Amino acid sequence: MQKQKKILSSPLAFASTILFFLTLFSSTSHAEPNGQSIDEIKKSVVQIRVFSQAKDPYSPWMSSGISASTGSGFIIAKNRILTNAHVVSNAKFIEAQRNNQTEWYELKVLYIAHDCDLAILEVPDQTFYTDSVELELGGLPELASPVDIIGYPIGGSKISVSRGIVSRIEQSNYAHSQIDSHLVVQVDAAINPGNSGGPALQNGKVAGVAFQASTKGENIGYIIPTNVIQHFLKDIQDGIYNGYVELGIQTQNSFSESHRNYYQIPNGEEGVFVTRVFRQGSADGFLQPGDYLTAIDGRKIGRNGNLLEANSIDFLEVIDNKFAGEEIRFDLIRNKKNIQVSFPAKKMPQMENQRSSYGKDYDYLIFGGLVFQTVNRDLLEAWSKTGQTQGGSLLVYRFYEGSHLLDGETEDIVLYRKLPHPSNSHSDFYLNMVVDTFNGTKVKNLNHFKNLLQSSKEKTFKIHFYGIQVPMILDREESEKSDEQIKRTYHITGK
Amino acid sequence: MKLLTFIFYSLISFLIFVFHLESKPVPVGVQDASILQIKVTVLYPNYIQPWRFKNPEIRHSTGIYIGENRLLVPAQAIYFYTNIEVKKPDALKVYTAELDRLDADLGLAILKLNDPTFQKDLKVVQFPSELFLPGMGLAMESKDQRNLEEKRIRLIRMDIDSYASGYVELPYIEIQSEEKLDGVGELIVDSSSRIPQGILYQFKENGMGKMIPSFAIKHFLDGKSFPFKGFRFKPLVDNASRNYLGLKKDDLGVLVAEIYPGCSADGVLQLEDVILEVSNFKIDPKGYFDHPKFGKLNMSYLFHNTFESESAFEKKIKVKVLRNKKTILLEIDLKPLNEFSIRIPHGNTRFQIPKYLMLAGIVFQELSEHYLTEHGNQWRNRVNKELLYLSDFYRIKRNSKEGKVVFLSQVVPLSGNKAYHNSHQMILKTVNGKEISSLEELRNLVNQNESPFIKFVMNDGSELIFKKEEINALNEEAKKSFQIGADSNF
Repeated sequence: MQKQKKILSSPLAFASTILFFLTLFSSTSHAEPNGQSIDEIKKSVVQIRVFSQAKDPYSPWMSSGISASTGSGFIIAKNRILTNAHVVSNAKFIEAQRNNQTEWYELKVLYIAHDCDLAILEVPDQTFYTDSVELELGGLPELASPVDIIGYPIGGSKISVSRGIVSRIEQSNYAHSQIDSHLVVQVDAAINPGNSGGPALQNGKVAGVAFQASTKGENIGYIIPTNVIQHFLKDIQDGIYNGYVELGIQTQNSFSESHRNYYQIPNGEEGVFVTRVFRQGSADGFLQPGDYLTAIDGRKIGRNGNLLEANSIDFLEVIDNKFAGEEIRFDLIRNKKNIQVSFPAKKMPQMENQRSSYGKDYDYLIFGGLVFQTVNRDLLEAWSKTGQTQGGSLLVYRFYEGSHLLDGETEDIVLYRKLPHPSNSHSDFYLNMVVDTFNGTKVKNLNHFKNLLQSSKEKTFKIHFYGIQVPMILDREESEKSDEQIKRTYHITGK
Repeated sequence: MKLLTFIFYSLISFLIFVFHLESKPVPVGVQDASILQIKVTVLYPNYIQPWRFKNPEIRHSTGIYIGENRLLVPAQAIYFYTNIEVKKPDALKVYTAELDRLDADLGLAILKLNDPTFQKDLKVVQFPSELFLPGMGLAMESKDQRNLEEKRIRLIRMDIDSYASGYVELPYIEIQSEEKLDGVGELIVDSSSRIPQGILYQFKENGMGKMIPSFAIKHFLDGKSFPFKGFRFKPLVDNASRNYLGLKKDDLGVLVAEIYPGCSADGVLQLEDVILEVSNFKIDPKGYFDHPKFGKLNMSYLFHNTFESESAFEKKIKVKVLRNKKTILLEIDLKPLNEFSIRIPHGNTRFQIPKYLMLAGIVFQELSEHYLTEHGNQWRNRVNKELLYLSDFYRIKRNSKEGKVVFLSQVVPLSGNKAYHNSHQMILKTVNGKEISSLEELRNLVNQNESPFIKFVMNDGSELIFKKEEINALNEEAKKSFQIGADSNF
């Protein structure tokens, strides 16, 4: 019943496998993809080798081991290489090689967009581009039309070509961020690990970028279509990637006649009801729960939330194609009156913690061996793997339900682990609980918490947690003293 | 007059004699016909589709003869029974029993047999207050038609905890055995004196088990209920808290962390009180005290114990607390657990069949832990996160105004409610603007509402709206199409 776009949704609409694994050697295909010479294609597709190292969200002062992996990419205009964000995420060193090259060339990431799983790379050494070919972007492929997936999948270092048929075009979740949902093209081609970032070609033009496969069905792969790629390329034209805007509402279908009668929606008027408006989203202050949305930018909305036009798509897809500052215009019925509302599109800051993140340091606070961090998707995933999740339903519920955080400013701070020391042996009672107040002041976010803690002149700190009626009591002097020892014992650097 | 005096003294002597006889522990012989096999057919309710029941199951347990045609059995064996069969040793006849009494917290029940011939040749087992700890014991069970089997166990120590399906922490005896036991009501006797020590109610693969001690059984057989202290405490081992609360260096004590409305401690203790002493026993910072016979025991023992000579029940419990840095003396009148305090039923079902109310083909239920655990081994990952959170943290009311958690469990799919077919596990916030705290209240509100529309508002802001006359019509259609017996079951 609920329709929700890119926020607070369940982890994955379909289980996907990120195609980012070691690629070895494969045999060369002599097919001619959609009429284009394979020799020409070879000149544009590159193999990418990545050495990466991530931060450990559960132990944010530590880095994980160094791992090597490969993916694919292809040269587009201005000698830029397009690939998936997940191919180069957490990369410390990237190199690329074109077909028949013997040398690996170092790559630089120019732009990375985790919300749509795309990245632009560049090889500083221009000899890499000798005799290269730039691929041109095409349009959205037709259903049942053939596409060729080109890349360096598992099994070899030679180019591989596999042909598939477009079987579905829909909005779906992108596994890389786990929260964002954009258009995807489903093909029945065998997309394998290592194909990631490679082009899907139709009639010699790029129809999309291969990026993930379904784990539920055999031979089902997904490509990112060119309208998502174009959106990304347009976004970076000013030299900065801003990311997708969010409407920030939840809606409900209007199949029920009684529901429509209650709100006195005229017969024949189609649309959807707004049930919730998130703070800091584009619609905040412009739309209200109970509004009946009948059209977006003049395009009629159906009772199920799809646009009433040929090749019907979800009305939220219209928002997906906009950039920050562009106008969103709704026709709606509010309190039985037809009105029109316009407002600018914008990003929602609270989306960041909902999304899987890459290549960043996690901010944290250690005080007396107690480790505090902002609740985010990475931490929750790492935390659930530790098995120390007793009593954790509070933070899981607050993360997924999220209504407490809808002001866009407040973050949940969790005491998710302790570095054992005699001074904190009492603190297990409060593990996995979310901080509510510090010495009576409501804690807004990690920085606020740090500031409160550092600026307090009190001898005793009183921390209240949600769901627990008695506070945790800390002696400032004792905690500070043990802090030094704990950081030395556990080799914590940088804090 | 002399005759009267003689009769009086004779009566007193007789009563003393009888009392002495009754209180004297009676050994249970190897061949005593005291232990019987119980076969129970149970029909468990279906918590997810509460108008249905699961397939009948058979459960076996041991029954102990306690006289007057009555048997003692573990409560878990007979929940939702449809038929109880009892077999005596050396007899082919099968007797039928009915439930006489049950205590969910102790996990014991008494069965009554109506056939007067049943008691013939059976020996009564008496449960004394005497406990041999630590010591060797024998677990007696009736494995087949004729023979009693005995397996060796060790009685390790006494401790306090909630039983598997109870709410109140009660004493139990930890046992150990190298032999395989079922843990379904076997009688435990001391190995040398053969005096009953208790009933085995749990045994795990690691060779450890739990026994209900004889004094708690005796308390139950005497028809008494079990007290509940009505608060939770937290250890107080850190200097920071101790200094903040004003405890001196040598002071002991634990912190009162939760008080349940309407229970024993309500109105006596306060949050952040430090309990220093209970019944003149000093309480250490982890909540233990030194029992002269049983060693270190959790403080709850001093409130929940039913050991005859030191039973706390129906006595005022003296508690010394530090409140606002001042020592005060309090007295707590112990009462049994107030069922009104339980917001989200957990642990034992207490024979409660899950309630439901169907409105317009939409099924509403009250949240219970049983509903959640019915979602399989991975139930914590599968159920609605808010329901899980409430079940973890708000089982017992924090104030008397809190009601039950009413939620929409599923929509029976009909064309008239198709707008809402995907709704499930959503908490009902209001109906026509009024907050709902029970299914009864929901039913009354919908039936008595004068408005032409009924509007249900859920926790995520979504709304379900029906014309009033639609509700019954859709219910009738749901009942007919999906073989649902009634609109509600309460």
